[in-house]
Amino acid sequence: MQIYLPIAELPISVLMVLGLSGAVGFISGLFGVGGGFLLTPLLIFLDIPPAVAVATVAAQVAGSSMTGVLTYLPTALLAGVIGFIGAVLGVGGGFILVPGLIYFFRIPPAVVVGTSLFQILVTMTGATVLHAVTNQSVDIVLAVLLLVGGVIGAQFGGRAARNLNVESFRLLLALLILSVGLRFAIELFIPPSEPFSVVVPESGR
Amino acid sequence: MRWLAALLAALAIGLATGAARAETLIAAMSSHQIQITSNYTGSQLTVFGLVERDGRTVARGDPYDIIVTVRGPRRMLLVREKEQFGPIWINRTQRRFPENPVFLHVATNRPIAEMMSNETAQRDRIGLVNAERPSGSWVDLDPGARRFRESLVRIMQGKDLYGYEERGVTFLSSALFSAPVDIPATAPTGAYTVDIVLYSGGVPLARQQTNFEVIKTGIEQRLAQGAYDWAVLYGLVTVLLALFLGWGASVIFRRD
Repeated sequence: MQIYLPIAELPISVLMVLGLSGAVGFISGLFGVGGGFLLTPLLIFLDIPPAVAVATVAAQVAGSSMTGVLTYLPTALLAGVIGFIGAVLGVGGGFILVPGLIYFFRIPPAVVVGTSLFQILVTMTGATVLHAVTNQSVDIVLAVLLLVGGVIGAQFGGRAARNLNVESFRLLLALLILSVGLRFAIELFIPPSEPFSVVVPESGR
Repeated sequence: MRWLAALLAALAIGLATGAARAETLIAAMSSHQIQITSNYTGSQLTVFGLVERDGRTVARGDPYDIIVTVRGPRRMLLVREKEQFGPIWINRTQRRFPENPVFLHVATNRPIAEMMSNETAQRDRIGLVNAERPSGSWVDLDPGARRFRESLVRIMQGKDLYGYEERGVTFLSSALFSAPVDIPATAPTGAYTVDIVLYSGGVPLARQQTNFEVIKTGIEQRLAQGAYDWAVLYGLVTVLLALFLGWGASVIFRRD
């Protein structure tokens, strides 16, 4: 089933977006990362204009971290306090914050994940509104689709995280970040089959 | 040499205007508007045309050839080329194509190469690569520009936004023809122009232009409009919806 996205200006398969956002939501709930660093490139790969992908993912990340925060909060109220400080300080994305808190501050992973999610929640709420005001690039239809998949995925991810031991948790997170980095690095060394690319600069839209 | 070029140009104009009196083209679109709704997955339009001859029109030895060129809204396009830089491949050279159509579709009744010479096609801007050649230049003096333009066309063809149908125009009778035009869902909204040119024996005889538009309607149009007119409200509603869905999911999942 296809649905037309009013801001991205193209139709997209509903099932594909749900599956994609579900998978990313699972990873998001499992590791306490926003998931944006996975979802944004995936959406651009599906021909969604980069500005729309970035802005819409901000809304999706806000929603799925809301779920995550509520899943974690009963076990870790501290998360809200640390998360608030993080948000005010404007510390960067979850995928940097989480390893930092685990390794340098020796904070238990469950608390770290809750903290990170809360911080992401606050930042991404602001980011969504700012994108909507300055670029008009938030696609509400795409956001809802991503959210439905994302929040459900995040629920399962959050549950799975509780059943994981700390060592395998660290290994999985390391592998995830490493594989994303490797994928981009390898691409640089392979001679491209099509050296040319065409973009419509955002100012020209 | 200058007077020779001027003479040739004058001759060409004389031929063209002389011929324009002989045949006229009448064109019609199956629809002048494509409406985008939530289940929109692209559309198809048909261009109909009639080659009208009056009693004094001379009989032609060569058959009629029709070229239909559909141009979509214009945007600035940026073409980049990856080059090897040490061991890695990165975008190095880029070229801007300002005011370039994002959608371009050429349909003919037989291959352009059979209709006219390469020079004529370039001069009259016939074909995908020639359609948007900058005016004034008889040949592409800059080989790099042509390479980038050809790459632009190739990539846009891959996205189905550019296309060439060498048998896309069908003659229903000796004078009546039709050409279907596929508009993919990714084609941008805005105004489209349809140029129809009649050739015979490699000489342009008549031309005609018509148009259509692609617009959003219903909820798609209201959402897109709302995103511009009430940007703050739109952003807040999206975020609240996001947070509500997030909260809702945790409530639903807590029950079981």
